[in-house]
Parts: sequence; C-alpha cells; structure tokens
Amino acid sequence: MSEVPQNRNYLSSHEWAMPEDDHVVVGITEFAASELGELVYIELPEIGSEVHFDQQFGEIESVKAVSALNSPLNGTVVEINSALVESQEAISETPYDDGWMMKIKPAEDSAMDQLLSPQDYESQLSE
Amino acid sequence: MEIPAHDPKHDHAEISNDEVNFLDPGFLNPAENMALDALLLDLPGWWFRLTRWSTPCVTLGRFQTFLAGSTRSPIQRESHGEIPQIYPFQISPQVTLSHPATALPAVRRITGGGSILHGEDLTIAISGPCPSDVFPRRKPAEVAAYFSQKISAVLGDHIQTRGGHDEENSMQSIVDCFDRRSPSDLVFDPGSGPVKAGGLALAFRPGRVLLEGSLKREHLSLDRPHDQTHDRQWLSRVAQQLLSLPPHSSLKEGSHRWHEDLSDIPWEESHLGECVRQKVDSQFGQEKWNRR
Repeated sequence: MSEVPQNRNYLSSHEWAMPEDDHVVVGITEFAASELGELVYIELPEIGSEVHFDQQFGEIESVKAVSALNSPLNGTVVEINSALVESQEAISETPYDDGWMMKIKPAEDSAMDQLLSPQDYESQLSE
Repeated sequence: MEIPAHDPKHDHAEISNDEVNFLDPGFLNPAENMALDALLLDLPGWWFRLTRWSTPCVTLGRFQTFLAGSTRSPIQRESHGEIPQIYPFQISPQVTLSHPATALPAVRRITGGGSILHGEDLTIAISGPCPSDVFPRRKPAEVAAYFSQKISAVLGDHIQTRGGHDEENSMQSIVDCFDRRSPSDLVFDPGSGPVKAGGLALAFRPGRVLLEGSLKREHLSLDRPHDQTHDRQWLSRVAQQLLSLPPHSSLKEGSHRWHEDLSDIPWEESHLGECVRQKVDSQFGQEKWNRR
C-alpha cells in the first residue's frame, strides 16, 4: 500500500495539494509515481500562469507515454520546482517532499474541500 | 521492469459494438494527422484509425528536441537499414517546417518516444477508455505491453513483444524510435538477434489512452498502402484481439462500417473535420509546437 500523508488532499487522478502559508503546494502521489515508472521529461507551467481545478497544468513522460498532470485547485502559479526539469528522480523517490511540482496562490473560488480527503483517497487506492 | 502477463480475467470484457469505431479518413497532411489523433484521445468509445500521409514526413516525440534529429545516433541501427525510399504518396505538403536530418516535413506528436520517418510504414492510432475492463490500471508499462502483445498476435508467430526491462533514461540520447529499445517493441529475430519492426507510443488523459504505432511493412509481410482493404482487415483483427471480442461479433473481418469522412462524425456540436482544422491552426501547424 502506498503512503498517503494525512496533511494534504487529493485528486482522483493522483495529484496532491497541501496548504503552506498563503499558497498551496502541488505534486503527484507515491502511487502515481510508482505506476508511471522511469520518468524522463516533465513540463511545468510558467510562473504567473493560471491553473484550473481538474484541468491540465503540465505533462510528464515515462516509458514512451505522456501523461497529463491536473491541477487540484484554481489559482495562479507562484513557483515551480525547476530542478525537476533536469532530473525527475525526486518525483519517484520523495514525491511528497522534494518531488513537489508547483506552488499556487489559490483563487477565491478555490476550495480544498472539493478534493478527496486522505481517507477517501486511500479508499480509492484499495478498490 | 519485467512486462507483466495480462490478467486473463479481463479477456472477455463486455464491449458493445456501438462503442467501437473504425476510421480511415484518407491522406491527410502531417499536422492534420497529429491533430486528429489528439482529438481521438478525447472522443468517447474505442477508435481504431489508419493513418495515411499526404507526404513523407518525420514525427517527433512529445518532448524531443527538434534539432536533435540532425545528429545520427552513435548506436548502430538495429535494422542495419538505410532510410527507406519513400513510397510515392499523393504529394501535397502543407507544413513548411522541415526536419534538418531529412528535409522532410516534421510535426510533433502528443505521444512520447523517439522520432519516426513515415512513408513506407503502416501507421495506426488506437484510443479508448483507461482504466477500463481492457486496461484495469493506468500503468503505462502494462498498457503498452498489452497493446504490443495483442498487435503481435495478429502479425504472426515470427513477431514477438521484446519484453525485458525499461531503459528509458539511457534511450533518451537516441533520436530515432527504431534505434531505441523498449519492452513494448515489436521485434523479429532473423537469427542474429531481435530486430525492431514496430514501435508504440502512448498519451494519457484522465480516463483515456491514445496509442500511436508505426510498423515497418517490409518486416511484417504487410502489403503496400495502396491496398486499403488489407490494412482495414488487419486493423479489424487488432480490434478483435485487443477488445477480446467473441468470434460472432459484428466486428468480424470486413463487416463493420469504416468512417471515411470526418465531417460525418459529430463532435462538440460541430464536426471532427472542423475541429481538426482548428487544432492545426492553433497547435499542430504552429512552429511554436513543432520546434523546441
């Protein structure tokens, strides 16, 4: 069973969101990283761009497969983890820590409660 | 990663024939072909598509550097072949961006992997729901392995799935798809080791997967592209294998309808043909997308 930290919320497409100060940190779960396999490329949004709930904010390539990355919230990108563009190892090794992908300033209409709780996400994984 | 065996409990997925669509829209230019594949990723149901090129061209993997194509791989080509003579398609190039290595039109795919020279190959696209009864998990290696196993089953005993372990990172410096090695490759063995005869690449969106495949006709006993019927029958057999449809299915060879005109296919209150044109204008015909 993959680790599911209790201090964040989740999308059913396996992205996580964790409030931190006045922004929200976003990444993909350990389960998603494990399923993707060996990662080779990632494309992250530009700082200042707007992202939307359950809409694509980036793409990641593994084993000749390009997968969409979806945003858990509406908001504006304030920081990206540019180290991931050079090396994606952190996504596989520490997806909840150094493998974070972007930080967003949530829009006013953004709500963490529209995301899955850790318990709900664990249930999804066990189905 | 060892390719896992397909779970036999999913071998009789219940799929309505209404959900299975066959598409052979004729000769499109490279940007139109890639735009259509991208749209198929978002259409509901299963789509099995023959891709015909109005001009020989190169397609690049989603993240490949455009200029990387101007350098040759240091690794000897597995097939020991020269770039093939291009089959004389109807020539109507509408994409002006040329690939530096070949001076052919070049367009970027939404799927991963290496660059592919299209001309004499059999190019196909398949899209469908994922996860689903066919693909219980959205795990790229498993999905690619399943596609590969089912396509190889239709190609005959001499074609196998390569299998083995992923070497994705070490393959990134190799430009040409057919110089790369991947567990999902379709290979044959002339006695001196496996030779790559087909390459597959994937793109995922929530709930959907798209496969784009290039198969070398010279290695696969596949007729030349002017034999439209043969290609259609072959792709029908792939559909039956992939979806594990029973023998009495109306998908039986040649008995189902092929969409030949994109304007017949409703799509978001419009028609697929119009959407292809819009996507060419906004993305696949744009230098910003194709050159990086």
